[in-house]
Amino acid sequence: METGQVLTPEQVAARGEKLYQEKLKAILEPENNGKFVAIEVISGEYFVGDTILGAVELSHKKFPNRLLHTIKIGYEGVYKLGRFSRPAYGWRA
Amino acid sequence: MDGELNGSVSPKIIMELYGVAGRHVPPVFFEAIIDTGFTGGVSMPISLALPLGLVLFSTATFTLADGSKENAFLCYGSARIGEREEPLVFSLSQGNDVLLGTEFLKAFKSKCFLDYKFMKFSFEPQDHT
Repeated sequence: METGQVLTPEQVAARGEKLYQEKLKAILEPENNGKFVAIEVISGEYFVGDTILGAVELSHKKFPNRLLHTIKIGYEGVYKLGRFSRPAYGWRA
Repeated sequence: MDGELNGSVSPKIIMELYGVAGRHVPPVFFEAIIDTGFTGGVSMPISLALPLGLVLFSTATFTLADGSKENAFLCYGSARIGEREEPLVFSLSQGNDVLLGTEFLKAFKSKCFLDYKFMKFSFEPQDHT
């Protein structure tokens, strides 16, 4: 049974971005630029993969039931939305 | 396979999408727009995504065309064209259209041919080898 801290998606994203900027960016860039990092924001552990699914698969071996925050290393966002794409179902960063 | 370009700026194809529970019986098909301005896999309206049983696994930040940023949800799912199936990352959108991005095209090793003189479009998944 999963117990302990329960974070909202907004909190997960905010913590993930903060962890990355304050700690992981210096560790992971620039050698891993273009790869993806999945961050488990409660423990602070992170998992790097060549693809999003690769990084998440590694993290789920240890944290199978946690909502992660995923970042593309060395980039502003995981994906780019084009001019004609509709906004994501989410919230302003 | 031939897609649709008639009267439309963007090419469209029909394809099967589903979540981790596997293919639906009968299969559920969607008309999807190929949007090379989108670097992800599949962008899906949440109203269509929820009944598919997509599993939410992550939040992520997207960069918009104007340079601003949005946070969104990422889900596990699969796409199938003919006998070929590929796992993909789905993101949830506020729009009305299913969009297929460059990650989708890369997953299927696709070759696309657009002919705006004759308004024809063809999409061809290629082998991994």
